[in-house]
Amino acid sequence: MASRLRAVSLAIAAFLWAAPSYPACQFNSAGDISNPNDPSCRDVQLRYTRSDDSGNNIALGYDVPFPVESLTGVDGFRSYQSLFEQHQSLDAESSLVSSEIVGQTISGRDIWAYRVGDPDDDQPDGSPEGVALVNGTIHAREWQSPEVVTELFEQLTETATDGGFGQYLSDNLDVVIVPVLNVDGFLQTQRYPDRMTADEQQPRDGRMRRKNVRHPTTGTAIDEDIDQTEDNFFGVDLNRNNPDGFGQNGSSSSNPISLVYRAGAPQSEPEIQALLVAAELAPATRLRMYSDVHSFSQIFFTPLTGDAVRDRITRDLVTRMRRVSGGKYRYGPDSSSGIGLTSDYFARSLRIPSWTLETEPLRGGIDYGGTDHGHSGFVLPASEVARMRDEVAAMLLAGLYAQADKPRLIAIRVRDAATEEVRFEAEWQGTGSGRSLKVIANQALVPGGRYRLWLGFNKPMRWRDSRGEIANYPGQSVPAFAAIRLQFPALPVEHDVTISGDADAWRAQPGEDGFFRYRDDALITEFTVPASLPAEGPIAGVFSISARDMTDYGLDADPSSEVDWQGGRWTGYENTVGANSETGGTDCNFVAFVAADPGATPPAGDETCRIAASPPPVPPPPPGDPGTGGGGGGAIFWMLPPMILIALCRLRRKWRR
Amino acid sequence: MQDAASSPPVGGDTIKGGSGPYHKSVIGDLMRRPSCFLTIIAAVCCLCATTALADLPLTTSADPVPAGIMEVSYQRLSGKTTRLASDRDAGGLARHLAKLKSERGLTTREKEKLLHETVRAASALDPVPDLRREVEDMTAYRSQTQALWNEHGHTERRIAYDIAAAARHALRVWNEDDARRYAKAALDRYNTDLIERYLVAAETDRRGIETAFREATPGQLAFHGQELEDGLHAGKSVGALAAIAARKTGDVRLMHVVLAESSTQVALESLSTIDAISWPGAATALFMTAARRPEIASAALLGLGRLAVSDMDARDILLDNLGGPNGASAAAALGRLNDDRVIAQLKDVLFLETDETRVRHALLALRLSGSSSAKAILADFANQPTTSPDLASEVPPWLRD
Repeated sequence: MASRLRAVSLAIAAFLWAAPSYPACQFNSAGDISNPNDPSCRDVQLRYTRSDDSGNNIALGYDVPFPVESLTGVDGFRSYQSLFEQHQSLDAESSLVSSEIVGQTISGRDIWAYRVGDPDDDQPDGSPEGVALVNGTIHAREWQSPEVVTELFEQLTETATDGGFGQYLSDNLDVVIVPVLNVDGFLQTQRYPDRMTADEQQPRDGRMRRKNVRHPTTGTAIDEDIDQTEDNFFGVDLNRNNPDGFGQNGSSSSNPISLVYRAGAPQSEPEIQALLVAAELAPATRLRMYSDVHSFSQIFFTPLTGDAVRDRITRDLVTRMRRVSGGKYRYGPDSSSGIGLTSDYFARSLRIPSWTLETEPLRGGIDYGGTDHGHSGFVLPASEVARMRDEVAAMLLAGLYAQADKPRLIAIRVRDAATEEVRFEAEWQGTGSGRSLKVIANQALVPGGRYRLWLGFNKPMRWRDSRGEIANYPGQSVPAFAAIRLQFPALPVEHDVTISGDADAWRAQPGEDGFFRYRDDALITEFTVPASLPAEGPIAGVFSISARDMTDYGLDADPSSEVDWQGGRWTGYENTVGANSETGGTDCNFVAFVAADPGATPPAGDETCRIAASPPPVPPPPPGDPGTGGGGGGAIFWMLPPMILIALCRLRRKWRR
Repeated sequence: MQDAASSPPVGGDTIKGGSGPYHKSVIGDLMRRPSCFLTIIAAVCCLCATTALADLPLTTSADPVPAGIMEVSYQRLSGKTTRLASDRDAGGLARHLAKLKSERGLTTREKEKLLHETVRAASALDPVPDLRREVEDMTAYRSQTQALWNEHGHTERRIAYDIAAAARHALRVWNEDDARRYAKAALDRYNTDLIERYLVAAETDRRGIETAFREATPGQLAFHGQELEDGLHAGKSVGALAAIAARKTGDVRLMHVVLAESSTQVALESLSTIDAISWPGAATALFMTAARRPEIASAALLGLGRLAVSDMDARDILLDNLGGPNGASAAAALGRLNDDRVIAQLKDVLFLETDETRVRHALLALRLSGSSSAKAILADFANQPTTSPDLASEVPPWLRD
């Protein structure tokens, strides 16, 4: 794999090396320009136009977007100044935002990070909050990135007091946002929004600057004048300047004029150092998600570290996020040892779900009816920007929701439907390892009685659409109602009661039997204890509750231990049989009882669901130590396709019969 | 880069790390074969071949033509394209394009590169019928040459020269120019049905008509002014034409209607053309019209800020907007001024007013101005006993350098 990657190098460079010679830039087998000092290469001035393909013009087939002065999002790309003012205004207008200057660029410009979420570091029940870090604009020409990250920032801030989804995120997760990391480079691209130099196949500087502005000899900033071409190829690719995989696997270069020049040492660049400072705002030990937003090619480049559990959790999370866009975004796992990306660092050094998210387009301007010319994918048509921004922000919000915490039941209440009298009530109290189940009321449910069940969860469990109707979060498919049964372990299974309901069960209003903390974090429904139930004496009735949250994660079946992200995996997120899990299970903690005598006392003993009482499945083998496994794995890889095909052949025979 | 002349890539089998297409193409083919044994053997070979393909030297070509000869042919033919284009010889370029299609002395890669650059060159010429026909034929061309695209360690193959896309672009350019010529003639004749034709025209044709409007005289455009204004009031999508007409004729009333009634995109673009010189005595009112539309209010207030450098009324309007729904944009506009008199007015808002949102916007304006006097006011404000504890705690971090 590594040798292949070394062989292909960046973009189309190898093709150009082999292509017939013609004036302008020449490329070596590594994809680097081999005649950088040749005026016929470096002095070539290129210009994007809508339809003029003559001379050194490059027709995109749509209007060339220029930066727009507007704090609020428009169908187009905002100027850096406008974006910065918008970030500052979100900070100034909201007490839920704080800002920090986390470093300075090569040119001495401030790099800002914003921390969004309530000021404390705890969730409402006292458990420590997790943190997500979202980085933008590490590559200067990728204008989609600051728009997406700013949209996320705006939505988090604007919904922080909405009483539902937004407020849940604000209360339960800190989100650290770095909207523009490569400020110098981004400003250079906006200074020349339709101009660049060198070669259409590898345009450089101006609108197509990718790197920061480091001069490799002086260490200071190169000039900002695109017409002074001596230094137009210089700069460090900040997304190759990180320690994990630094200089490895053939995807970076030691050549200062290369597009993927990594510099002499990892984390040498002030912008990367600023990102590390931003990660510490949280602090970094609390991080549980990192997203680096780029463009283009519609894919989550996802480092796989060899830690099977972390990798699986990351893949599952990305899968859920990709669903938000209807699968338009692809999954791009990378099993190599890394190439020095920021996402490599966060995946490997901090062992958190981490990816490089390349926004649209998939191929380039051609996806919007434009041409295929000159890296048009970096120049999204203005008319597509607002839609793109919303789509990607929705994906990121799904990821934040999933990583903030896992769903769990907090409280239960059963009332007599006729008298409103509380017959059974219990809730989890305390925090962390001190959390315990407190039964507040426990009176007999009577055969033939009609009851109202209220359940309170720790997070909003359902999404509401723009009309206020319960709906799936975009792209997700979660049943409208939870799977609930009242089980009687002492009786044959046919006596169990299935408790049903519909989308209207979710509570949108506060108050008695309303929502618990957030809109749609509680449900209410009614059920009847069968009159035929053979329960002369008291018998235990266990509520078996299986509910999925908006992103289809199951309940933490044992809330006595708090869920947290530690060492590359969830801890305290138990499945039905009490084992640590990645997707949760069924809650069987609430045990009421049924008796013909309403005044009966509860039966003795610890009952639980039937499923929880069954023998636990054989646990999967423990994950290998990250980076040390893999020996012999290749054999399985090579065996798999023939095995699959044998199976297919057998199937085919069966079909023929 | 892989020249695919001898073995055209099949769907997704060139995508590493992808999903659907690979399985569809490869597995689908295998299931149609007669023997399972052969199927398995073929599959294993196919898997090996896929891997081997990636390890092939990237310059591999199936064409048996010596490299030196290929290069000479390419350079000769490419030079001819350049020459014909610079001579604006559309007929010659059509013949050249037709010959290129059947040229045998080139690799597929060279041929497709030549076709691509020739079609691109054609778009700049007047399309004689032969050239249009040749280019129309190219819209169905399926490019085979692929480029390896490696980003963030993930390698994919992509079409290197999308000749069909270039051909479609050339046709769009020509169609747009046809529409421009038609519209120019209609403007010259003061035709009354031009606007109606615009409303039902395809996007490309509309572009051409807009270009004709940009090239028209103010007198020609004034002829259509009332019709455009009525159209906007009636909800017709004539905003782009109305904006051009308003700008070129200096029709203030029409520009107000453009800003109030046209699409967001047209209104936003129009804002960038408003300044005190182009719209003497009317610019402030125009920005205020735009500021009433929430989707462009921020851009309008920042535009007003440009006037406020010398226009005291504009400053007052911005100050009045503090505390309102667009207060942050007004604050940004005031902050950009970095003017001592404005800073003094903002100080008054801080120390004399009680509306917290208004105070927050004044703080934002001072923060964004970044001047030493603004920072001194912020520090003073944070230390006042009358300042709310929330605000007092929020200000100091802003003062750090």
